[in-house]
Amino acid sequence: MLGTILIFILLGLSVYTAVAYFLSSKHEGMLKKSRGMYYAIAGLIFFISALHMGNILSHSFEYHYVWSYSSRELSPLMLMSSFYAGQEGSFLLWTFFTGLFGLFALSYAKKRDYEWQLMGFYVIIIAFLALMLIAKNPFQFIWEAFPNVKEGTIPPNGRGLNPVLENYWMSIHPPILFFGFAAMTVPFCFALAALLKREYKNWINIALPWFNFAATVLGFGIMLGGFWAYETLGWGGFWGWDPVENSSLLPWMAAVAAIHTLLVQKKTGGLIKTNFVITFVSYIFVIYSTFLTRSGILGDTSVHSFAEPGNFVYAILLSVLIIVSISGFVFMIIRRKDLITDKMNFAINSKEFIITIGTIFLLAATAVVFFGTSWPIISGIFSGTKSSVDSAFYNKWTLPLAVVMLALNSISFYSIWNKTDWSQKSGKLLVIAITALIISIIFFFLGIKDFFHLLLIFTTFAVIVQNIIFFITNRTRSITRMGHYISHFGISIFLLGALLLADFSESSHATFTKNSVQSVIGHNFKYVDKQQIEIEKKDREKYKYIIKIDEGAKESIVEPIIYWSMYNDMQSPFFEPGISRGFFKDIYISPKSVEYNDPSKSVTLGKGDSAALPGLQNFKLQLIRFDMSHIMAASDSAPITLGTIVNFIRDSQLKEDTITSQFDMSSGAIIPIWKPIDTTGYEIGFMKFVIDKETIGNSKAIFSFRKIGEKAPEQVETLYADISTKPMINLVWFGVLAIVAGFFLAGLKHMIRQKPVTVQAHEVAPGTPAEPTVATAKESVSDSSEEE
Amino acid sequence: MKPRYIIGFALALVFIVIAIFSLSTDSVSYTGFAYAKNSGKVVQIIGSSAKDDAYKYMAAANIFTFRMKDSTNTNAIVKYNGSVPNNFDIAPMIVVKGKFVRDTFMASDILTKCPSKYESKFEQSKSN
Repeated sequence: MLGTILIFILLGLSVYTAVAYFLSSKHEGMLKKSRGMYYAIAGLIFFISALHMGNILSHSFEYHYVWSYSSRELSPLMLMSSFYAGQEGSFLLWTFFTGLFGLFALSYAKKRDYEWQLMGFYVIIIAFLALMLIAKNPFQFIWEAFPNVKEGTIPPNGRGLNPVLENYWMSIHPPILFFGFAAMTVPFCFALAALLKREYKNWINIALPWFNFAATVLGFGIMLGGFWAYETLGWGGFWGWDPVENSSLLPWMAAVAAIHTLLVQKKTGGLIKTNFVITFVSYIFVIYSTFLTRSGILGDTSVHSFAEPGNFVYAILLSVLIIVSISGFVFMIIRRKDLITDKMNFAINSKEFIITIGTIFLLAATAVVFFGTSWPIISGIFSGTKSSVDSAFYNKWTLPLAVVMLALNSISFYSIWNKTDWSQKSGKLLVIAITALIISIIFFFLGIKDFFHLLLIFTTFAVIVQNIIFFITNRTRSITRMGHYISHFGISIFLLGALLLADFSESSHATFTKNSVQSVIGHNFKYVDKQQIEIEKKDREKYKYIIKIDEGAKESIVEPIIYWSMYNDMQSPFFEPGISRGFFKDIYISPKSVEYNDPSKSVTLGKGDSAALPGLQNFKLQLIRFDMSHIMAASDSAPITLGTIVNFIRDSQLKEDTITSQFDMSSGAIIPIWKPIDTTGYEIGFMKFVIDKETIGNSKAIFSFRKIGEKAPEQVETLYADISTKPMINLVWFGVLAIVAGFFLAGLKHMIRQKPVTVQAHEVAPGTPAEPTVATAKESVSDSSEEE
Repeated sequence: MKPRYIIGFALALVFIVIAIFSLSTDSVSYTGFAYAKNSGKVVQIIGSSAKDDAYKYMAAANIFTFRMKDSTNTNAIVKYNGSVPNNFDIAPMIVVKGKFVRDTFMASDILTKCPSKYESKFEQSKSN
């Protein structure tokens, strides 16, 4: 009750504070009051979050959310992670980070004379988030969610966390992603604030470090998601172009584009309108991403499952999306007279020109991801039948775009702002091109025959070689001035890794029984044993399978995991892959299914079915019906007798009989009571009752046969798995880490550099050191690009 | 209008046209078995699986077959080159991607949707 009221107060207070901030330009003393109110908002958000966390930690299952996503069995870390396991909680986490960033943004903007403009918009965003929390309220009681539940009911335990999510990645990946989403709010609000302030130049200096920060965090979060998918979820790869993955990639790509175009404006003063547009788009993508993943609109097309959130939530998400989408552009139209000025053209041989062209290609790639992800919606609207695109679509398009971007990056490496004298640089570029060409030819003979793949090899190596030379010759340079080199080096390493992985990965299907050896993809695999793990947890039965890999000189052990969980009533198993990590390649074993077979002769019969008895040709067995009469009389502790009434058919003579077994409720074991078959010397046992929960009449019985007195052999377990090699997967991880680290360092540099730019300065201070380039030619940041 | 704007627009237009063309050739629509059979196209079908005699996994060949019902209650035998997907048996809804080869729907992909609506379950256990 308290939580719900506080969320309403949060909404009211945010709206009120927004009004107060916007009025503070006219009214003396209002600014200080508004600031105080923001502190109250932040405090309120922290309190609401603490309340939610408290409910989870204290197992208050009367809350629908707590009941739905947590249970008493969860470890403390997982219990804390269930804070954001559901939609309600993840909105709250997003609100939490947004509230937190607001405190930094406030003091940051205050120093730069931007406080009321920025915070006015910022609290509106918080109001939107509060609205979503009202729609998806984590404090809803269980009897409010289910009308037939009596008020005041407190379930003894919760449903628990989906076991797929139950690992340490769950405590890292989502918070980082939401951290990044929250960080994206700041540059968006700065763009709106700049339009409000009619200040179109300095705002990019102020917003740029935030973009870098957001790109760092979001990029890191996306990478961790890929690593999670690879390491634990067993999807086989690090990226599948799934709508959920794509929707987090879109804001990141837009942020990366913005980092480039904002830099161009910083250096040349151009691209003023472009920068507003890209900044707006980057935040529209954040909201769009939320819309795609929370509205249930992509429900049919993703492996992630989405709950249908209901019409109210859908309407709110859609209206927030529309408002955010149009507000920035409407504002630009209002300010169109200011924005029409400052037209300039970049010289074709300048760095800014190459960067701008490169960014256009990046935006084209963003458009590819956008249209591909949105295709089910677009096709649904325009053609009536929904359709979706394959991952082949994304690969086909992003590959040539990546080639062009890398080529431009390679050229841009030697270019300088304003004007490049290519007569001096073309020699260097030629050397790089020849080196890259030689490497490409080597890869051609190593087996890469696809033309575009070779082009990608060529361009990645051009960038890699350039940067390695640069790192060696500039090793004394301050690390903060290396940021963009490290990022570009990282993206080329990443793309190289992704390509080699795609072209050189081998995979095969394997069937294991204990102690059998499988020879696939050039290695011998032996399933040695299995071991139960996490025995102390009673809600699961979890085994690790020990598989030995004979890799010639050395032997390694891989341990894929198969487990059953109470979460789905132990009905079907969950799988986790096992990975043998190597420097050059990983060996990846992804279990697909596990089966238990009785090696003794057995038949499975439904009601009315009959079958010949294996080994006893003239005998037939028919199942007449099940005998459940003992079940009703059973007590809880004693084993229950399950019976089957059968007909033995011998030469069309019928003989009715009852075959029973003892079912132990506590252990779940079935002990058959063996019965001799006439004078054949064989006996029959009722081994298993295969229950059909929907129609109990369709249930089946499994019977076994053996020679009288012979001991029944043990069940044979068969494990089916996909085995593959993942060559150069480490380049992928290393590459992404380098990209992310580079963004961080570049952001740090922008932050340090803009310090001297204070309230009064509306242009890049003339004394500011220029962007470091390889070139030694003198540079200037003055506006000497040719005018239109 | 400056010539470079015209060139820029032309390039953007070409890009968009190719992209849309590519989208419509690379996209796979959601339909039913009837359409899939008549057109012979690669499609996606949303429906549910039945656990009858057609439900079989042949481990040695690594082929999984089952009977599936689409939204119009049309049946077809689906054949999939692989093992039984995770959570297949409890999934209330599945999506298969593939095309008909004679009378069998050859699936290249099976998507299983995990049951997320445990709410009904709670009601059941409460009303008992």
